[in-house]
Amino acid sequence: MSSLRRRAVAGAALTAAAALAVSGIAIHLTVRSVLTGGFDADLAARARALAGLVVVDSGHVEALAPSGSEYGAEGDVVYRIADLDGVVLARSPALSDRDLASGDMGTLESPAIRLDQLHGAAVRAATAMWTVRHDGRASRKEVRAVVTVARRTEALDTQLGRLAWLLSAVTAAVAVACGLAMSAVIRQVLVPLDRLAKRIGALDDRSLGKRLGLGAVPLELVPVVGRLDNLLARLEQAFTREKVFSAAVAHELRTPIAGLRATIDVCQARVREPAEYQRALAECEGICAQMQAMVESLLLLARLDTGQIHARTEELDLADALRACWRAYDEAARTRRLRVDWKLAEPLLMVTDPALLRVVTANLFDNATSHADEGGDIVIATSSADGIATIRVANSGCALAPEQAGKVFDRFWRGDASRGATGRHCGLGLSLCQDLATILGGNITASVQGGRFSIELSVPLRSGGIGGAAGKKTPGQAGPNSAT
Amino acid sequence: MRILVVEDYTPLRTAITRGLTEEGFAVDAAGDGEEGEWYATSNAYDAIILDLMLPKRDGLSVLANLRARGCATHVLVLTARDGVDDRVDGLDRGADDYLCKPFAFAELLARVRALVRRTYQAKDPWLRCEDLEIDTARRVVRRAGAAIELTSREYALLEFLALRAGQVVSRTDIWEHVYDFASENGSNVVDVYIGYLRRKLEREGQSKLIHTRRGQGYVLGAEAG
Repeated sequence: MSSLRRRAVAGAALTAAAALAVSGIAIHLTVRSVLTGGFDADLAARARALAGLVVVDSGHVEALAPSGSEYGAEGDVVYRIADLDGVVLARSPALSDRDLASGDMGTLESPAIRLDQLHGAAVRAATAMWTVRHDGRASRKEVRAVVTVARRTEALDTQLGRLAWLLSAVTAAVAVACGLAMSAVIRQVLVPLDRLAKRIGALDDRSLGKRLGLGAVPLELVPVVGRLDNLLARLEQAFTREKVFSAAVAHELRTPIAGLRATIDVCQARVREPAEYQRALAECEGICAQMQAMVESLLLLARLDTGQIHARTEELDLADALRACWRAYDEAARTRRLRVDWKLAEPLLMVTDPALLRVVTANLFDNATSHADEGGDIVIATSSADGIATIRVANSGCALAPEQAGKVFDRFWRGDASRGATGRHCGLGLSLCQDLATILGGNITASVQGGRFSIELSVPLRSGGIGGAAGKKTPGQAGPNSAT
Repeated sequence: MRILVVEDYTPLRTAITRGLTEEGFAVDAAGDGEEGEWYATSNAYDAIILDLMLPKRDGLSVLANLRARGCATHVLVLTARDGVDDRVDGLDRGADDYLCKPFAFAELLARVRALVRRTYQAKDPWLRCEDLEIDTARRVVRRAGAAIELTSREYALLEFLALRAGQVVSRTDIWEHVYDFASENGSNVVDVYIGYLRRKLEREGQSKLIHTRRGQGYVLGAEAG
């Protein structure tokens, strides 16, 4: 795993080392240039001094011996004076006539400098040619002579080598020191990050209500902390929703389980006639059917929540679909003496998922027939406009307050907290309808007015989805059709 | 003993009613809060089993209304809410006991019996009167050590008399607490069952246990005071 700290330290150390290396090289080159310049100037001065020792006497050119011992056998400076023919006029005792014989020539003002090898040692040599003039009484003579002065560079090389080592050592030491200093600085800089990491590490599913807060957070971490707090808020909402939902599920199942258990307990309390056992079993079966309906609703909701349900569209006539769905509720409506007003636009052809639409309309019909007041009425109406089909199911006898209308889509919400029809009306149906309406590309709304509960499902006449019939003509709205 | 069951979930209400009836209780059942409150204020019950999530009027409101009207009947709250706060709230509003769904029916019965005993200030599940012993938990009756077989209705009548042993119990009281309005008619049914009990309890050579107070009612054992 990459470490920001390691990368920062390495980067700082390398940068410092590179900067120091460049400056070290520059220093070394400068010093080298200064030292070799001085070295060469000394050689040139010596060459000029030696040139002054050459004289023409009696028509002969002679070189006087330089004073001092520096040109002696042990000296590190040697010289050679010769004429242009290569005849040596004077030389250091340490040289042979052939030593320092070749090379470029400069002038006394600016001798030619070269590197050479002399007796296995590196030397720098300065060579200059000049003209020796003699104006005698009888004649005038000019002789060209060449003077070469060479000096061992060992001392100079040693000095420069030491300087290079010194600079390298300083560069390495500074790089290491810089790395250590950066490490300490970065550690200090990263303290808020470590603190933040500890605070994040202390969070678990029981502390989702806590927030990290922007109080003592460095500016650079504010976006991270802000987004993390937003994420925590969303997680808290999701967890709370899940907990509330799980508690509601457990709660909803308690009552039918209590009914099942009490029925079984009472039945088992004594020996009974077969008919009594059959009655008890039938009651248990009824409770199981209610629980199964609830569990299936929950499973459908779970599948909707996880996006496992997709619309499979085909063409249908909405009026036919509604009448077919209503058949299952007709008897319940008759039993409760409910008047049913059909106000259908027909035919109303649409491309949608018939199975999902049927689940929605079945829930709406079931609610209406169950919650309408005895002898009340139900209105089932359809219309279409701007490519949207609207199904309205309304019933009389609603005891809800208008402001409660929006709550009917909350899972497990019920108007009067009754568990009387647990399983069949456990407060999941309209929540399902809302999710299914979304899958169908539409929406669903509820309203309460004047003791009437009304629910409107709006679905596109042509829903997107898997499959789907080719579009046919969409008929316009027909006149209302009423039935009782 | 007369018990009121207020529970909106029909299968559960039916099972509790049947179970209690078979145990010899006279049971009235209501399916919503309004009906339950009407029953509770219209009759004298030995205990009330009250669900909290009821249509029309929730159980806690029913309980608060009953207590406000001075109804002292012991109430066992029966609910799917099992949180500590829910239980505390229920008990604070006047409930005498709390049972969470789902429950074992035997536990419900035991709690109802305990509430009934509290109604008559009897803490011991064994009721004793002279040489008569009644084990209210096992519904076993012995006199002078000999077991006596009783029907549910006979047992209920004897238990009601034993809980008020030494006191004159009117026929109306017996009728209200022991018999089911729906299934039995006429006050003479009390005299008929007293006759059955006497035949089983007062064998030859044994002293009379159930005494008639003409125009007042019956007394089990020697009259107090």
